[in-house]
Amino acid sequence: MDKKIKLAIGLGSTCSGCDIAILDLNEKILVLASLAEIVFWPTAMDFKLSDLERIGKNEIDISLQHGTIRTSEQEHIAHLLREKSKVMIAFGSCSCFGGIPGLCNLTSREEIFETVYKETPSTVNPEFITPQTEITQDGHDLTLPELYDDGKALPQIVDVDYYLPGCPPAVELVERLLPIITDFLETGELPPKGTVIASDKTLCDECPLTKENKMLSKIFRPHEIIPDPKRCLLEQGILCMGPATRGGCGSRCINALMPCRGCMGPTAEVKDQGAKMISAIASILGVENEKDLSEDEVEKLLEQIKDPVGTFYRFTLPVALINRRIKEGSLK
Amino acid sequence: MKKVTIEPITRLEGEAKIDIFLNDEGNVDNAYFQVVELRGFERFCQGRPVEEMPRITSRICGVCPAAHHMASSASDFISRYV
Amino acid sequence: MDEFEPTIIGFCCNWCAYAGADLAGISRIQYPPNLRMIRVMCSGAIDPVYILEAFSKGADGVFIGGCHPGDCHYMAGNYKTKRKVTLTKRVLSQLGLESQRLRLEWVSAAEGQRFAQVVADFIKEVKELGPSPLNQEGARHG
Repeated sequence: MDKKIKLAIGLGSTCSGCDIAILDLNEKILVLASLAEIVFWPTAMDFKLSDLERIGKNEIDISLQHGTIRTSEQEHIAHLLREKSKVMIAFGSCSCFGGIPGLCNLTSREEIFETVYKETPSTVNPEFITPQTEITQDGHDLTLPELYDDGKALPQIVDVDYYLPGCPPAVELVERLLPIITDFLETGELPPKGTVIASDKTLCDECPLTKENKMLSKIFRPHEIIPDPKRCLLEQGILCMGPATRGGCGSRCINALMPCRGCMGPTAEVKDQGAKMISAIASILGVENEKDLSEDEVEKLLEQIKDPVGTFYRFTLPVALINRRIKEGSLK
Repeated sequence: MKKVTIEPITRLEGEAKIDIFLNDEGNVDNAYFQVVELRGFERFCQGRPVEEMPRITSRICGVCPAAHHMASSASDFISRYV
Repeated sequence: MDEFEPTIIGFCCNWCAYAGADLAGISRIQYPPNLRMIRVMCSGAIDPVYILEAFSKGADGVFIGGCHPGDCHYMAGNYKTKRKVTLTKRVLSQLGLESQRLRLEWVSAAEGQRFAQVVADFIKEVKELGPSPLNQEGARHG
């Protein structure tokens, strides 16, 4: 009778696309079920926080956590999983780099409350009641976790062993967990710490489009161009994050003729994905007649990029070198 | 007064907990459904180009990304005519 | 009371700006000592990562010195510098860091006096802007 590993899947501020990515294993989920005893997975099974708290130290073999860390409770779950697991995997772009909810670093908790509880057209909240961490109502004491100002990636909170990026992670990459678990059960061996379960090269390496000559003079927004389906999108003036993004996702977006948005994060030696893309774009935009461009013309050329931080740091803002909008008047 | 807490609610997308307060007779005095997360999409989408809305809002929910994608595509469509 | 002395990181290209700085030194032209110089072969080789890392590590200002347009030792490197710095300034602005803290100047090897002048001018400007907001107490991010 084969032994099974104990597997836990916890969440931060997630959309649960990562849970669906695991379920996208389709029939291979049965393989996973034969290899692993799931001890915590609230999205798919009826596990409570108290079930997790009851588990002993290092009793779990492998834990996956997905979702950005935005609240005190999510941070608590991250610490619990780390303490109780031999191996911790940051699953999905949110936990690897911060992900889309990481864009909250461009705003603040106060601003979010203003918008969500006051300004949105469908909100009726004349007293501007906002969430509190503790209240007493009709003699009943209630608590809520604290919502942090910053979104954080999992490695900024706990020690992470492996990374499986993607928003959501591609099925081919999730499937790679299965032989890792089998090997562990048979030999006790695990991949080296810090392994990223994806390609080591950028997306351009596996992109099926033809690359000719990177010289752009104009950036096109999607409604301004019908792209040639055979040629590199960046060369046609459509902002594609491919050069600064890790591959391994099967270039699904490119196959749908949509430019890469960078969800797989940077490759191994890159400290800051956005900076790399700034370098790449600035080098090739306007290069054909760069000698003749005046200062104003250079400014106008680059103004075609409408939202630099949102475009270049879409998924990786929390782990960037400067990782949030500095608050006016004082601290970050 | 006894309190029964269901934390978290399970088998769905989203995080919430339920606190049920029982009176001395063991009947329900009051029950509270509390949503414990907020990401702030309504705020951080402001300032982003409209063509990115389908790709950002589809990350609101991984079970129904297509619904958000369609809804925000409407905003993209409308914006061309405003 | 201590007057604020900014820390400026300077990336200067080997053939023009760094040589200009050398000339300023040999000619004993005085300028404030706040600039910490890093020599690079070409200003075009400066990856925006270096600029962002300098700010992230506490620099109050970043200075980039390159060859005048048309004079780049590697023909076209400085044109790319101009575009990279312009785009990096936009990113800094969006993040709430004053884009004046990043300065790009063209200084030739013969312009010792000018090197001293532009650096002194930049240091004065950064002094007026004050310490980098990233350096304020409690501002260090995790």
